[in-house]
Amino acid sequence: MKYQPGRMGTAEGIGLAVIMTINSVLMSSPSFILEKMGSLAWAVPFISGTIIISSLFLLAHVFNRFPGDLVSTTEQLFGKVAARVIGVYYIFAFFFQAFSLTREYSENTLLIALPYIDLDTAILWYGLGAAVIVYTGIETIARVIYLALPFIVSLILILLFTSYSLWEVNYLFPWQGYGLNQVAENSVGLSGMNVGIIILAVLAPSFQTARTLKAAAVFGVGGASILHSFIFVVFIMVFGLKVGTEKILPLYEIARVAYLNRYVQHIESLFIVIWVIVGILSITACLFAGIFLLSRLANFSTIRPLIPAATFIIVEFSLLPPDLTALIKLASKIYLSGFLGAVIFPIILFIAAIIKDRRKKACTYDQ
Amino acid sequence: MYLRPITLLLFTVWALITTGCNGAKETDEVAYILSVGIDAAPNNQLSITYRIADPHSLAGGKDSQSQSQKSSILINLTAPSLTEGRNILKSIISREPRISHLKIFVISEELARKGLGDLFGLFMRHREYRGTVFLAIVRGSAKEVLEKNRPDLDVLTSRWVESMLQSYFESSYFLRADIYQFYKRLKNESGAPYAVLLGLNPLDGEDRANNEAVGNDRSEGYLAKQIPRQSGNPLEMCGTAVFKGDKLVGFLNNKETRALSILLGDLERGFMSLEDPLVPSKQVDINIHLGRKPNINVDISSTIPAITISVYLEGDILGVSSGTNYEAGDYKVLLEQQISNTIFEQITSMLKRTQDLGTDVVNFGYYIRPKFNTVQELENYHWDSKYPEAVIHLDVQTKLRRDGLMRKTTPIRKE
Amino acid sequence: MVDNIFFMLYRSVKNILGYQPPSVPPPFVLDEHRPYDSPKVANQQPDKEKALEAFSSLLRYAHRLEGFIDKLATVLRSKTWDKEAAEIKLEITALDKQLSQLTPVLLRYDQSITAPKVQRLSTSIEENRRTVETIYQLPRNNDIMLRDFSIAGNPRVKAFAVFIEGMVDSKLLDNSVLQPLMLFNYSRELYEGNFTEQIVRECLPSNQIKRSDTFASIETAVNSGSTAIIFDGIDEAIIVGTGAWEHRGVERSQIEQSVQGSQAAFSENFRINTGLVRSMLRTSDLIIETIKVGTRSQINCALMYIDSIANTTLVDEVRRRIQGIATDYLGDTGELIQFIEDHPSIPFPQSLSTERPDRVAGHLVEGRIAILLEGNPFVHIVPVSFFSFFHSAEDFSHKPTVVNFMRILRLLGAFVSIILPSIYIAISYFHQDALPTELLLAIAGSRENVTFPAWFEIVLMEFSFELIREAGIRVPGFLGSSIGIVGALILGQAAVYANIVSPIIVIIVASTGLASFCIPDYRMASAIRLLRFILLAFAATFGLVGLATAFLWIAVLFCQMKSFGVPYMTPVVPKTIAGYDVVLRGPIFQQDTRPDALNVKDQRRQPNISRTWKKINQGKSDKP
Repeated sequence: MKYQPGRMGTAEGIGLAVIMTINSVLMSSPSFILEKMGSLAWAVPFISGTIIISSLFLLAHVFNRFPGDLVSTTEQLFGKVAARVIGVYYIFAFFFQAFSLTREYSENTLLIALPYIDLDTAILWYGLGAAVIVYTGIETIARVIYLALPFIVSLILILLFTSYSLWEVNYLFPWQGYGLNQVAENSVGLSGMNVGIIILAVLAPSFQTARTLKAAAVFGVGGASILHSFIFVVFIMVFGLKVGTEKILPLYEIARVAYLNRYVQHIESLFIVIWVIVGILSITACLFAGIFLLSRLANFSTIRPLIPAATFIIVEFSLLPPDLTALIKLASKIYLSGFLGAVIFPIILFIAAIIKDRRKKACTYDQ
Repeated sequence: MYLRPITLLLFTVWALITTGCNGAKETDEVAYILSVGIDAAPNNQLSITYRIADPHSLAGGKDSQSQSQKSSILINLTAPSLTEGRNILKSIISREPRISHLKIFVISEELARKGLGDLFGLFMRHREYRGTVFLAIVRGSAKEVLEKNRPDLDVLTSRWVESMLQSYFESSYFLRADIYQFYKRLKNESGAPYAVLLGLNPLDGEDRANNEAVGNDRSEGYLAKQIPRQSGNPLEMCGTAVFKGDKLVGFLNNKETRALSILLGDLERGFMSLEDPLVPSKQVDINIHLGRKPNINVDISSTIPAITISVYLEGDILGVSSGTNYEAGDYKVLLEQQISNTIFEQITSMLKRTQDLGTDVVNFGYYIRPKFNTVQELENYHWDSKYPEAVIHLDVQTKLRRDGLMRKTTPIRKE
Repeated sequence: MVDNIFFMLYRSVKNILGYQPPSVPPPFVLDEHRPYDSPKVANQQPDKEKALEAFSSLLRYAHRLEGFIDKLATVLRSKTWDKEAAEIKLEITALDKQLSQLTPVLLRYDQSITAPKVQRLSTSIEENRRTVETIYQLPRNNDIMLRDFSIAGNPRVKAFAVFIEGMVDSKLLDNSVLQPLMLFNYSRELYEGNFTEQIVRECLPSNQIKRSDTFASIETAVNSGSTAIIFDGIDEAIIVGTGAWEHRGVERSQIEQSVQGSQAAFSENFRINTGLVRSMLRTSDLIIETIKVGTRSQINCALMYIDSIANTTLVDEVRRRIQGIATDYLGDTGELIQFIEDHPSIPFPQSLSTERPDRVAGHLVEGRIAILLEGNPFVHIVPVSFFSFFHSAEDFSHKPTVVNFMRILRLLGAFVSIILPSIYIAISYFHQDALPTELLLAIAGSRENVTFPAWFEIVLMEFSFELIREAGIRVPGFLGSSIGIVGALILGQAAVYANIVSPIIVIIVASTGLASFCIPDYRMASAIRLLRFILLAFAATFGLVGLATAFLWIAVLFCQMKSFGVPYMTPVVPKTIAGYDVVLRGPIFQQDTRPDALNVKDQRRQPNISRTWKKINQGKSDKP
């Protein structure tokens, strides 16, 4: 295939994994999680991260037995129709994520950086920014992410540590939050939010071995979970439970209250930079994954002509929801179905792979 | 080669830059509001006072000699709300008023007693108001405060405000209070909000303080407006305004504020003039600071909560006028005892006052959090209603660490 | 169709929508070097080839024997055979010796186990010549000269001289080596007694002369500028000191100045330039291939690399590209490089241009390739990564801590010079709340009396600065400094005084300009200068959002670019094992490996413990 994305290593895999999971923390999800789980919210990333990592491990195991990417492996296991169905599901998932991210990031750009700009302009800007990068292919995208990663992470850490004087540790208590079963229930459901991580499985042939895939999953998702969790911890320590649930953009608010001295304050503009870079990169990755899967399913010889069209459609779509709250509501419903893609499908594939494996062995014994 | 597309691109960029549809504003199209004063006006209106920076006087270089006294302008207007006030303000000044560099809100006592909840709806939601804006309550009119504030050392009032509140720990006679802190205490499970107390001193040198000195302290406690002095900037920060919910309920004077800051764990240094334990007519000067954060434990096993506080102070001797050898041995213990007693009494009186007011300014409720398993249990405990009855066990220890430059004092030669 | 902007736009949209994957060959990507490129494997030739080699040696011996027999026959037929008796006697001993060397066991031993360098000289001039050709990889190496001649005397003795053009003093070689040997010895009886002894004593008036019988010592001598003369029938060579490269008019480097290290710079003379590189890198592994470029004016283009290090596919690719240039005239290395680089339309340099032989040598040792054009003092080094442009020639002459400080300074300078004006614009237009209040008011105050918008001020001042810079280069030297002073001081001062720009803009533009001079590479600095204006447009349009987007795009550009098949941002992305010399550099004795991204044949440049004197036990164990 001409559009086979190129070769990637652990570094690129880590980049993709982090970018697919990090954006939920820049958005309003922490305050939602806080509202449901109280002071134990920081444990959620660990639980959902572990779930995602194990489902990727299952997939890696499947790819070991039945080499190929997500679509071709499903085809080997279940036949063509099922492969198409699963492919279409993931295309939908990626495009939905691309579209909701575009809208959310542009809305919040209005909120934090350019209050007087038109929403259309902002959405167009994000669309354009992503489309240009998609053109260069996933190898470059992953490399750029990996290049940007240290800067993003260190800027986030700087932001968090500037609020050091405001940390009040006891806000992390009562330690069970709104109850342990609440936490367990919700964090399993929330792992669907990270359905984008399946991009690693979609691009599986580009990774050198299954080990690379596993390493990317462990270090990427694991690292992102630790960062996530730390952001939660700081967020709770700085704002407490009640005020925390009010905030739309937690990390931004932490940046806003940081006040080191007369000269080092108002550091939220640092945040704008992280914001835009992470936003465009994650939209890019989702967009690429969707387009790639689409042309994979339809057997196109190249993906490039799809880029302007897909970007245009996504930009138009992201203008549809009437407001941010409506979008977030819609997204939270869709993300429930993300659980299907992030956890259920990998498990089904894994079970099917084991059964088929056994049958194969059984056949060979018969002969 | 690509000349025409490039030209097209350049024109697009030029158009984008110049049309201003992206919300770009030159610095000379914006007026920066530095401080806002809010008074209650009749008919549920607000009388709002803005102090707006005048950048002309701040230009460096050749204009620096002519740096006028007028570094900012003052505008007062009456409006039903802050947002409406800003609209009206636009009818007065030629530039876009911008709040994002606001340093301080000055709110009159009268308005604060009615409740600040309505104001905070705006403060927290609008992106130009940030949590780091300081919050001050003025005994009297906020407009007058903004009008009469004449910083002696700073060109800008904003600088005065920031320097004042950033260096509060030099005396801890007032606390640094900003909107973020206030709001956090207002909404979260425990803690009473507080704000800085401002006042305009009449500068007649009269001592208006009606409360007596607590413990062996030589000086009595003052609120803002009460300090006996005759010159300087008429504006003074002294004491703390204490809220119950969003309503102002009372004041803590400077000594009580310092006691509060000991319990909050951020007393960095403070001078004390105490009665000499052996020669009560003479005085001893001490510089105290916290040896470690106060150890606070709240026992909620019985119906009446019991609060155990242990404070450990360290001090340096600054001056001994009696000539007693406090630097050594038993005398030192005596002096340490004297300090401990004074601080003990000051803290006790502060705590008693807050219990009377029903406001948990120290935020003891914060210390009970680890004792619960879930948030529901914590909320059902209703700390705020239990605080006024709480029994408090206070223990103050003082250790004198340094004696300054002198090893001992020899008495004055008698003739 | 009409060629106006609308149709162009229409066509480009049509191209985007109706996109067809281009039918160009896939881009060159530098891969791991294939196993058969490795020198170790090359030595273990298949048996057939070895046998062939042995067989042809024997054949050559047979030829020689045949010639000798013919000669003997003619001598015997003529009456005066006693005259040649000595010569024939000598030849017989020589043939005997060769025969003994040719016994199959010895032959196989010589050719399979020992490299040609370690061999001793043979008595056959033909064998010796072949060995020299193998050592210097002739005819790939064009500056190694083999000069055949015969010594005037009785009898005439065939001989050849080996030397490197550009490293020897031609006059000296002509007058005091070749001339006495070829012209002045007619009456002498050769082959009487020790031949080489006789030549040295009687024929060669040179002052530095050595005799040697191994190729290793010949190689060392030739590489340092001496000339080796090898005679027919004699298994000993004479080495004459003719090295003279250091006497030439090599000038100091003008563009890349340094405080420490070598000060020599390339000049316009092709052979002097190659000689300079040879004098820095005295190994016969250094290959200097010459390729003629240009159809009308054929100019020599030298391709320099170290054969045992540089990746063969890379060398082939560069050679293929240079040979694939079809143009009538090339005058400059910069022109040449634009013909062969991967992305000619991207302003960032994809090759390192230098005029310092020491720098070239350093990069050649790392496994890179240097391209030199005749008549041009600039050598381009490929492939390079982005970070090489922030290294300077003298970096390794200083201690790591000092150099790291300077390197950080340079990168910081580059960063400031890209971003400072645009960040000022972004903040003063969109994010005024990001500044401390007093600073903001000071900026606002200084702008109060200025009549122009801030972006115009910046563009105006940047433009003036560029004018000053360009004028400073173009005017005759003695006016240059005065233009700088007039421009920088008077113009800025007057502009501020006239309220055309605010003082802060002057500060920003001046410090930006200053920072851009920290970038060691001129072409990188120029590209960055261009970038600054683009970022300015982005910042003025969307503030920090635009700036962040632009930065992302630049990062994408960098990550996508390749310099001769090697990703531009290596070793950062894609992540490769880097020697500790990227942004910061470690101690020189820990630079154990070459850059991984170059996929060189020999990864290791020194053992892990390169300071062997640090091993404690060594000294003691040596004692009996």
